[in-house]
Amino acid sequence: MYSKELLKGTLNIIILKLLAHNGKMYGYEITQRVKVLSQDKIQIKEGSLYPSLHKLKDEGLVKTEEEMIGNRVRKYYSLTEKGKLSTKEKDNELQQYMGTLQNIILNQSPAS
Amino acid sequence: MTLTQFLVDLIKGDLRQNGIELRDLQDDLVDHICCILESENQNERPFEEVYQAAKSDYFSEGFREIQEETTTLITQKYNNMKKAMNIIGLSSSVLLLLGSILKTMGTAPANELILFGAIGLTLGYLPLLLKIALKQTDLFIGKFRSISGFIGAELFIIGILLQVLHYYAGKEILYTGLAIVIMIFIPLLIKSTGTEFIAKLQPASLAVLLLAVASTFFAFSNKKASSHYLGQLVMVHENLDRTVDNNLHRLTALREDHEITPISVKTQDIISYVDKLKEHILNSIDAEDSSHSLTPEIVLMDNIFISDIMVHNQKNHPYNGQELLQKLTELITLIEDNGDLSSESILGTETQDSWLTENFQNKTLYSAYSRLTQLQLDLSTLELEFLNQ
Repeated sequence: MYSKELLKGTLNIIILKLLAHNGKMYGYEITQRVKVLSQDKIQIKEGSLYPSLHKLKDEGLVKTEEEMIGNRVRKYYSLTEKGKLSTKEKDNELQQYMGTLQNIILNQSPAS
Repeated sequence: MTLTQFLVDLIKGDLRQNGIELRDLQDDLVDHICCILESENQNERPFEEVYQAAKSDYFSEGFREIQEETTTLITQKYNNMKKAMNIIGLSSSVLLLLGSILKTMGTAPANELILFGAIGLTLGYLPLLLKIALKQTDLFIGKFRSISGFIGAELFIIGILLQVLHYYAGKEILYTGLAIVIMIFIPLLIKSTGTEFIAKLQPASLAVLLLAVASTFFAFSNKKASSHYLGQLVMVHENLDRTVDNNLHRLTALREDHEITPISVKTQDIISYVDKLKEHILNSIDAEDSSHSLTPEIVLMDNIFISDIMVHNQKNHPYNGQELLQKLTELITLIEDNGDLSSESILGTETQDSWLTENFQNKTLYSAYSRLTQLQLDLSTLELEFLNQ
């Protein structure tokens, strides 16, 4: 399990990438999908997921559509056009950041 | 297993009771909890047991935290507005408090500070606070709570303003605002946030609240001091009136021992005329009040002037300043013919026209009324001197 701090900075891009790959997803589905893909190493807490989803919706990056499941409402989240562009940008940024991080960590020689 | 409508409603009710007021978030969490419970698929265990276990496993920090985190993230873009709101709120409250303190000390510019403070709170801080509060709830009861708090606080501050500035409806408006806050807003706030509602208030909001309470305290202590002061003014006039009565009593006895002179006739005529003039003035303020005497309420009327009765002599005033002046002038002529008396105490050394203007133009009701009583005292004293010669 990764620390909360590591997850905090990457939660939005995880959500956006999942939606980009899967089209539309509901909250519980996102948590389960992340669990499977990360082999239980990342567990998104409900207390972090929904505030982030609502923030993304407020920013116009994701939209929702409602569906009745039995006797309750299920909200499916999917990317808006703005969200798709933003996902690409954030993805590039993250790739570059991971590359930079890798350079720093791998090329760091021990102090002599 | 699919949960029944009854169980879904139970979960919804629990979420609402635990502070989830955003409808979208509520739908998300209901579905999420239902998914968890359905995936557990433990038909043999009671629902309540499974539900409580799911709550402690998945929502260990409580539902309220999720609502708060969501509203914090959503209202992040209003951070500048929040900062502006807090600055306006704090500075306005400080102005209100300072103004109230200065008011109790009778020092300028108390009214201006109170006015600016009240304007800042009613037109700046509270509308911004309402706008942000409405963003944090979708529930009717939540919106009703915010709007009731807004209206209550607005009325409360306007009430303080009117009360401190001695306007009539101040007390009623202040109490109405206070009643709305105490009877509607605070119970709804406690219901939604639990007993920790004070801890949930932003430091700036708490400071504004404390300053408003302090201002109210000063407003009330000022009102008490003002009442005392007004009572003293009424007493001063009563003493003046009593002295006039004593003089008239002594004059009645003296007149019996003397021949009736034109000065005595004229003096008595003017004193009676002033009595009727004073009665007419009080009637023009409140025709239903039959007490015909000064009260603290009348002393308070610092924006009611009687220039039209005393200076301009309008036709619809049976008793008026111009006629009084004419009578006084006639008396002065009699006194001057007598030679042994000085008429200076009656009109002073001013010209006749300026006497009316200086004593009654734009003067408060109390001032003008007291001046007339003083005139009665001067006239009765003059006649006493005359008869005692």
